[in-house]
Amino acid sequence: MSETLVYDYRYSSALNRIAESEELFLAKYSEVEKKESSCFFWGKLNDPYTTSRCLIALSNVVQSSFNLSPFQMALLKDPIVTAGNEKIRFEGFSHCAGVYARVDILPEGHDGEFPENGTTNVDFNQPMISALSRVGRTGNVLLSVGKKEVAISSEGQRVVERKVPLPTKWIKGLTTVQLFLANAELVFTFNKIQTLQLFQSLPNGKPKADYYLIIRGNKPSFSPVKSENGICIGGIHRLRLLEPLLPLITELKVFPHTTMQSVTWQLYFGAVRFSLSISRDAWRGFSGEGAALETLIEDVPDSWIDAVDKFSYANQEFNPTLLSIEEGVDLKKVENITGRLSAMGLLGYDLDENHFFYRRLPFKLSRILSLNPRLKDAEKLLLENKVEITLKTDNRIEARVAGTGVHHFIVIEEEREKCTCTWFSKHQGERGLCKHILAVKKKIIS
Amino acid sequence: MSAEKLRSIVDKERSSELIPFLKSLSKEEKKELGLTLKKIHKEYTEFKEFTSLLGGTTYKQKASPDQVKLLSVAAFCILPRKDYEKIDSFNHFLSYKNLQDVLSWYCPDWFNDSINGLAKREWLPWELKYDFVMTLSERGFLQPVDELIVRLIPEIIFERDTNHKHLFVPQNLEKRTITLEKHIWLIFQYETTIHFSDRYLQFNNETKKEDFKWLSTLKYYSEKGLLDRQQILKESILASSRNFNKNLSGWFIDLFLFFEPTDSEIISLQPDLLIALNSQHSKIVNTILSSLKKIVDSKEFRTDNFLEYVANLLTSETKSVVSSALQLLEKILKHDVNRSEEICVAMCQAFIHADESIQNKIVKLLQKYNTKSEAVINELGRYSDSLLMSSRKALDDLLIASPSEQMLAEDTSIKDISITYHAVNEIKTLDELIFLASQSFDNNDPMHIDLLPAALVKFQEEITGEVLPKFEPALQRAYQMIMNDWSSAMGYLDHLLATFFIDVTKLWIVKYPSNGISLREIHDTYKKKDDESSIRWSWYTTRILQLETWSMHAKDTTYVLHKSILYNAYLKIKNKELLPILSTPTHTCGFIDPLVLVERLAKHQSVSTLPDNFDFQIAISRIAPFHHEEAIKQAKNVISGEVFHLLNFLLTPNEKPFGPFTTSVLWFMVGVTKDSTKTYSEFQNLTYSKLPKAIFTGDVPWKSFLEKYMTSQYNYQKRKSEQVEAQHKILRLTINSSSHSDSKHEANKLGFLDRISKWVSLRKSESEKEEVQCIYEFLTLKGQYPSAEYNDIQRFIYLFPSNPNPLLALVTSKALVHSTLSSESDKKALIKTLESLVPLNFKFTEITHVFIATCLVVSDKTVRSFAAELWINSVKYKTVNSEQVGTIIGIHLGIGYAPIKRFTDIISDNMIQISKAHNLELEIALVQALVKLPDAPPVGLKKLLELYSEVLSSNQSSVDSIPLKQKLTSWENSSTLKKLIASLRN
Repeated sequence: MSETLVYDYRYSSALNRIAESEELFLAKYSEVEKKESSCFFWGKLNDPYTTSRCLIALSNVVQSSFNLSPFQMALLKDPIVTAGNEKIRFEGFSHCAGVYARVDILPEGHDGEFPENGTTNVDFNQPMISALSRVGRTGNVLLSVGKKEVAISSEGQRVVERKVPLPTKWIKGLTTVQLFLANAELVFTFNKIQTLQLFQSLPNGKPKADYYLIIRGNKPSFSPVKSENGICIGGIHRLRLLEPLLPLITELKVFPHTTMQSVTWQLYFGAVRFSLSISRDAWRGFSGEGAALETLIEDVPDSWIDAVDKFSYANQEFNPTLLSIEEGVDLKKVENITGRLSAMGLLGYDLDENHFFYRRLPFKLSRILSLNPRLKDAEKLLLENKVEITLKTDNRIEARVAGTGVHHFIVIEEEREKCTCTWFSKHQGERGLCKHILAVKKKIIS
Repeated sequence: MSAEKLRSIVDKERSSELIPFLKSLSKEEKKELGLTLKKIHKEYTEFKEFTSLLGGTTYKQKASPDQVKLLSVAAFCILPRKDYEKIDSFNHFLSYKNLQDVLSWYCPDWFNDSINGLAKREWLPWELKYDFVMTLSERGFLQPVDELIVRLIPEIIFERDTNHKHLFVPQNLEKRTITLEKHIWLIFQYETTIHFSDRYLQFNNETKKEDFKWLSTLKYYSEKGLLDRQQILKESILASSRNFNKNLSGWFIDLFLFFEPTDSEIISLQPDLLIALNSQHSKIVNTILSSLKKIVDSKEFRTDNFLEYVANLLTSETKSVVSSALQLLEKILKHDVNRSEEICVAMCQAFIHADESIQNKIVKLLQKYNTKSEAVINELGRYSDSLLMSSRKALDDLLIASPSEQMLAEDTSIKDISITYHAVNEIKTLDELIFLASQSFDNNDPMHIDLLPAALVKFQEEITGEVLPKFEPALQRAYQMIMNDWSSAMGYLDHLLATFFIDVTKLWIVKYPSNGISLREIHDTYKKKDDESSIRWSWYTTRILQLETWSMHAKDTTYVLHKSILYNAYLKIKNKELLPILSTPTHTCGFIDPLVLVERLAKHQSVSTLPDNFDFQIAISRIAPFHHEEAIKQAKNVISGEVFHLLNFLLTPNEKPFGPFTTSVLWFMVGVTKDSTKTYSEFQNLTYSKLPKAIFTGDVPWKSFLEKYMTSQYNYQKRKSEQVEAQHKILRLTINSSSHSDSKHEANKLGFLDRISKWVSLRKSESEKEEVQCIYEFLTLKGQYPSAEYNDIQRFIYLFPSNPNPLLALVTSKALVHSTLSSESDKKALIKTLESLVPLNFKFTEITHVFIATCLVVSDKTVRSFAAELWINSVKYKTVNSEQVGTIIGIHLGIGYAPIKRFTDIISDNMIQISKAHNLELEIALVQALVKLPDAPPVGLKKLLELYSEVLSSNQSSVDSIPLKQKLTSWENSSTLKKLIASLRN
């Protein structure tokens, strides 16, 4: 990988003892926000014990990998935090981009101020994580995202500089997973005891087979036997990441994706929430799922993106309808815009509140947009003139696209597309459109 | 000029000339030489193939070790950092003997960063030792970072002597004051390999084994006053909970114990000890709980803080952690009666464990300290689902509902015993066929092998020349499937289907030569590749086969059945015959809707053409268990003659066979499909009736036993292998291969055309008629170690969805010989088989019970879970005989084929408390299993009896079986069982 992402923190994150309380200082860095801005949040955590347990669990997610080599694992990625609109959200991905975790500190979970709002990388170093484990239930903990007093360190001084290969999968997963969340529905709500019972049936080891969350009698359990009403979970061992938090929860909600392409497990602790989304299988990252591809076929004018970027603030609810009215966008295209903005790293999704929220990923926009190889391949097909529309009527389009040694046959009919290529044959559209269909759609639009 | 000089220095290994030469270079000359240096370096260090005179091939580089060092030094002095690090990736520069001289003259800014950067690497250069780094540091060349120092510390106390034996030199720690003052403490902050730093070292004889441990070194220096004991104790506790790997974390807790902390030290360390209770590793939590037990009686014990961690401790998966936590709580209760309510509420959390001893302990404590407060009663109510019956009885007065009211509710799903079979998507258009063809070669759906040939027959008139190019991708995939290496999900049936499709496209090319050019090109490409490989590799056998002569390597005749369907379709396309294939499933699991079968048969009868005999047999075997009455009603209008009588016999429950039996095999197949165990007097003269019943029922003799066998073992004294007697516990099925007339059907490969002519109404002589064999006779699984066959199991089972038992006998005989499963493919076979069986509702025979019972005790948990699910379903459908399941399990456990624990685990995890009906069946199975156990109590019996006791309480029954009573008498002398058996008797 040629490009490198440099985490260039001017301070180290740390948990420091100050008088009678502890201060959790999180150093931040954003490659799109070069100026040394003041802090995003400074204030007291109302439930420091739970919050610190959740942050440890998040760091475990970020440090985990379910399909990568130890070498790749050494190249740690830091989580990102979005502070604003009275909420603080920490997001992170496993190295393999198949597990996404988010800690939401809701308005009642803190008592502090948001001098500025925004999204940034935060330094999650091991000593700080280790120190978090000493936070007890009765202690006072102040959280500071960014330095309130910037003068402590002299200009230009770097305390932490970590270079990691540009985490393409990571960033792409972070954008794609939001669309999976938006298509997830609440199916089960379990209390603490039911949750503990459920996790007692978690199989040992790393089973390759799919498991199903089923209810038998009043008890939820995991079973390897396919069940019609069961929630399908691949790579079930990844759920062990939740285990340390289970004795603390009040409730667990399970949100499977409508076609079981991912499952989100949301743990509730009062004013703090922890959600874990796992991809369809341990070897599948959210990055490769192509959920956002279709929304990227059609270009969205830069002015709209600018408008969103300019007038929105961190954690603000994103209202696509309002945007369409204000900017005079065709309502039919609203869904496309939402998908596109999400794929660009400008939107996150809140399952509980059932809406997208604004947050701009702390990576260069050009990087994020260049992360869709299938779309690039489709453009290449068009460039090489390999796409031939053979039939075009009001409700049916047929096309021939040159492949390797063969010509693929594509039919687009009433919102349903089919292609004879291997990718489509294998996944039947569940993992996003193939490059051939994308190319045909792009050609039609142009 | 400079390049030549450098080459000469390297070539002649003139080390002394190198530095003066490098010093003499100007900036420009260095830059120029840099380019040449890369080439020289490549020339000297690239590994090249050398062939010796004897013909052996080795790979070696031109450079000697010294030359490599010289090149590295040159690279260090000439090249920029990035290029140097690329060339000297193994850091040979560091091993240069005059390194310090070089650094005194030339030490670039990046040297410090580069060396410190090595700390992030998985391995460190050999020379990079603590002493080496500290020397460089003292001379001002390096400012080592903590990460680097800490990686070198584990090796400080070890050195090597001239014989390459290791020496234990703890005094190295005293060489520099900074080592004990600062550096040693870094091991508590960073993850290192200190826990196994001495594990693989070979020490000389002077070193005592117990000496060479870091633990004793640290203790020694602590006693000597050079290390602070209190700090070591504190840091070791903190390090154990620092998210390090399990072994290192365990090592730190060992260090803590090795220092034998006193009670007062433990008291002072309480805050840190409590934090470490968050550890993920049970060893650490257990050790801390043990330490806390020592001080729990002290006034300074921080009860409040400890109670914060109780939720995690009591819900831990490790039983010893839960028990220790309960013991601590008990001690707290003794001292602090005022907190009894709070503690009793907290304790209830451990009721989440369905473990008799844990629950008994809580019950006792609740009974002793319970305030009968509302809080305790409410909390207890939340756990009522997970309370064992004994706890329930004991806490009767605290539970809001009485045990009888709390009895397991009837499983609502039990009442709905009809299975829904979903309709398979019918291929309705040519487009759908084109896309189906493309996805048929992935084994994504077991129905594709039937749907593709059926659709190709149906749409053959629409497949005109213009359409052919749309099949290019499908043809390419078919070829890729047979030409590429075997994938893990591929079965022989996938190969067969690909071969079929390739042959069909050849028919199209003949029909439309000009439109078929692109398809022909694909054929030619792969044919050429196959031919080339045949010429190139002597071991290569052609991979492109022809459908007519296709067979798999073990010659299993089971494949003949699918081949007959495909060959039938091929002939229909070749002969332009549009009549549908009879056996194409309409519903999941391979079932055919009888209404559709009637429709298909009517089409044949309307043109006085008769279906292929095998096709008809498979269609009969696949008849779905619904729409029977409606189908017969419809058949009366559209079908006549013997076919109607045949259908009437098939679809009417108590109908008798009604002759004449012109095609006797079909009549016989109907009889077997309706009930494989039933004998019809009307068929007594048919040769099929003379075949062993086991062919149709799968009920072959079986036994699990201790087998003695001879095996080869190497005798080190005699230095040769010799045959020795060994024994193992196995399950053996006697499958009479002679009953499966394989040889007869080897010849049958050629007989498709003959069989096509054997139509139902054709009157042939008796001998000719009975040449047609029943499809059950083809079932074989011959390979000694089947693997790819297992990817076909599901599709085989879906040929016999109402009677898969003969296939179960084959799978059992191959995959369940050892309860530990001899290979991954055995496990895969069992899972595939169980997965296929779960949605089916069929009549169980003895072999079905042997299969389920044996799967319930194998070592793989997924297999056990599937088997348990099958048992749960079969109780629901009332198809299982739990007495038989229990007996078989008892026999297996009795001879030690599998340990009892596997059975008790699957009962507690998956089989107990499903519903009243399931508990009753479980009781029956347990009684039979217990009776079959030996008189001397086997290991794991206690848990089995506890589960039996739990089931008895749930069912409100008692021990009635006389053989079991006798068995209990024989076991009651065991001290561990005495009490339990006495309670069972009451």
